[in-house]
Amino acid sequence: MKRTLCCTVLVLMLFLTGCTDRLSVENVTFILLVGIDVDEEDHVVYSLSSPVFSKEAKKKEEELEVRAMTMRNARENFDRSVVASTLGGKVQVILLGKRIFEHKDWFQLMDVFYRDNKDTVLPTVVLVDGKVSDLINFAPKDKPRLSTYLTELLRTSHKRNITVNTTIQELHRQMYDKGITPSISEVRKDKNLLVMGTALLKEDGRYALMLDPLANKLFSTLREHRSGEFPITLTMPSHNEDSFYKLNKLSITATDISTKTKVKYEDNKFRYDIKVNMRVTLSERLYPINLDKNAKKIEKEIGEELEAQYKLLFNKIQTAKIDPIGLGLYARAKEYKQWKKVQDNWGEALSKAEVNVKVKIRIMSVGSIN
Amino acid sequence: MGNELSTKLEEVQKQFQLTPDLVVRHLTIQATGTKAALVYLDSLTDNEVINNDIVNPLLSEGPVNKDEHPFHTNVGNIRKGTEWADLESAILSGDTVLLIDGNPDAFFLDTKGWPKRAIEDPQIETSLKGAHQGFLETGTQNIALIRRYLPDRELKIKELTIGVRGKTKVWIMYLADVANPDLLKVLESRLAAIDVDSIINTGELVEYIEDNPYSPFPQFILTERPDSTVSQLLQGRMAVIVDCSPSVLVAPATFITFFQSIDDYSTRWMIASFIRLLRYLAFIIALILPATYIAFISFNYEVIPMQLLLSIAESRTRVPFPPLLEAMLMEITLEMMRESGIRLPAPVGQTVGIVGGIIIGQTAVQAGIVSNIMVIVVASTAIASFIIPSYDMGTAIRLLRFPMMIIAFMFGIVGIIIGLMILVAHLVSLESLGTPYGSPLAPFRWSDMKDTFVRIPLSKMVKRPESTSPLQSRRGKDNRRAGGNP
Repeated sequence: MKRTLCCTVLVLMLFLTGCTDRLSVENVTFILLVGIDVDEEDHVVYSLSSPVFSKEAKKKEEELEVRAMTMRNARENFDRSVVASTLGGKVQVILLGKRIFEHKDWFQLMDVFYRDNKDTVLPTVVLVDGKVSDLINFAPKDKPRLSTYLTELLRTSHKRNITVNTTIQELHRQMYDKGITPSISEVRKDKNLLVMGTALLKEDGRYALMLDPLANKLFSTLREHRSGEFPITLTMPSHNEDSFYKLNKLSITATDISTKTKVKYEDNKFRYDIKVNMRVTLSERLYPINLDKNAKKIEKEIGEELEAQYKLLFNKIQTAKIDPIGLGLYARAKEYKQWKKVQDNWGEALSKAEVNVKVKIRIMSVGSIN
Repeated sequence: MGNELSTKLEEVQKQFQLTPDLVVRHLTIQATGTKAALVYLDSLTDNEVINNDIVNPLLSEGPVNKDEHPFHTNVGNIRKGTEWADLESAILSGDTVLLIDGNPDAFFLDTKGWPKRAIEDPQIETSLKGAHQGFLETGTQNIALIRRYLPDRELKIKELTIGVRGKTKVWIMYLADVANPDLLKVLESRLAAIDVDSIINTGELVEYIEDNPYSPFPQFILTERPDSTVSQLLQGRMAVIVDCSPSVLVAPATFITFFQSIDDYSTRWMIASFIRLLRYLAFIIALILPATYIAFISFNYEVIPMQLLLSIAESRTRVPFPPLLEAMLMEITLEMMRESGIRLPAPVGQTVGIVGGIIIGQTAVQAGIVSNIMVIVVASTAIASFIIPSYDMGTAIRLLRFPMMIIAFMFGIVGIIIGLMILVAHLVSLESLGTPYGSPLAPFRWSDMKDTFVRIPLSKMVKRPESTSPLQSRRGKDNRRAGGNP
């Protein structure tokens, strides 16, 4: 009897606590894209795009732009205008205008994404070369919803290693870890949407430089999480380009990549020896050469060409005094004493470091024809 | 009772007033020349046996050995009685009573015979490869069906009578050298304690002897298959056969026994294991899929992939009801369809079910009463709940779905977890005949795992399940007890 009474009371108590935070899916405006930009009058502008499901609505999504003090303050302004309550749990992409990166401390604006547990830390961060409002109002007729289109575009271009895919969770780490500087995707909207490559940021968050797709591929081979395909087209300097069509080109797809990074501190500077082993398949060859006889030669040539490209990449990085690859993590692990001295100025220290990249190529297949 | 035949007959007539099927036949026994009378109920006896095997020998055959019975008959089962009460119950159970002038004893000759149906395929527990014999309404025949599988002297049968008026005969069958005697005692004492008018059905009996009547879960197996009963007997369980009921009770049961089917042992072990895992999956789907749908679309949209979310939201905007009401509407329609299917004659039932299902599903979506996704959820739930081999367990899940839906509507995924935790707590605290219902998972028994989630090859399954605590744990070999009774 006592037990029955106890159970009844417990069950009744279940009903006491409210159903207050219930919000059915149709009563929610899902923010899929968030934009933060600085306008001509130096005001921070927040914008968002969310899908509309109503049959009566002709457009598939609604976009809004407000000047506000903070992101949360901006949401209030959105709530005054959109159909249902806005919710950030499904944000796919966060678009940051290029002007944001002119000043440091912009990262503090993103606080709400990390603090509010109804928000997600999975959206991809994208730098927009141009105005965010131009992009967010872009509604191509031959493409699905912009949010879907943009998400898919970023995902597939990351798969081909045209750009990186940095979620805001990853960005948080890159911002605060002293051994690595942030790298995010960069897009541009001219007539169409175009993935430009990867934007590298300085330790304080300001814009440093952009890597084009080829540089990004090499950059990605050195990063800790390597994934996707690595199709690389190279110009072979050993062959003439007198033909009208400039036939000294060779395309490879790197299938199996392994790198080994060694760090030493000698002569008052860090020295990095990076060995890159690649197994490649030859996918395109425009100049005539007997592949069977010259395999070794070609392997060597490709290796040398890639080494030159790596050298260019490191020149750029070192001049900009940044470390997007995370070489600082190796220094911290292996040369902690020296690292400790320079950790607050790691970009500077890395720019003085000596970086040697050795590439070893093995051609696994030359394709169906010789 | 007295010696005078005429007074005895008068007394019989007095006891059986308003009984038009009572027959009294006067005759003279050839062997001794004494007067005698046969008394029986015409409706419960086999007339051919009476004419050929009783009346004929009595009238025609010569002197007899005085030590046995003072008459000739071809009936094997003859009992003697002197009390009126014995006579009454013998007549009512279909025996023929022979009263002889000058003899104080009454002789009860077994002539039982009543309307029976032929053996048919089991209706609820259909099986692909198992035998096509189901239990019948006659207890003795059911015993015969079981005995055919187990010609073993250790197969013991205890007879009990339950009910003051009905006097239903109940038999407990068990393998004396396998089944645990403590469990047998519990079962016997519970059966003996029943105080009712009559037991009509085994399902009724269950309610009087189960451990926790306030649980939705069945605590005994009710089967209509002789082959699965035998398989359970061999595992150390006991069977209770109730006269007049075509289902047999098997005890003790554990939660997982309701997910085992006799077909599991006759299909290849890999396939059987796969199908068994499928049943556990179906159990979970049937229990929480509608609840999960409700939780996802009213609390936790974050877990739905974006593309799916967009299409769910799109179809939800047309629906004017909150998710719980939408789900309840469809689930209750489904339950009604299922219940009405039982009442409809078989050929019509299927058509009505399919047409009703398709039409209601299709038009409800078009009319904007429910969303597309809801129809998919309800349909897969329905399919999943039919996969479970035990009808009783299936109905338990059908019922539990509704509280799960309500709690999911209030608390989202957290609510579902609360619901599942309550359920698990309830399951592990349940008992069947005092043995843990959650066995072999809680308490965990490693050796029983061979026949729990998967079924390993039979040659590797040498031990009987520990959950029945059998006297003899190893199957096979000649380890039968020597000698007769213990």
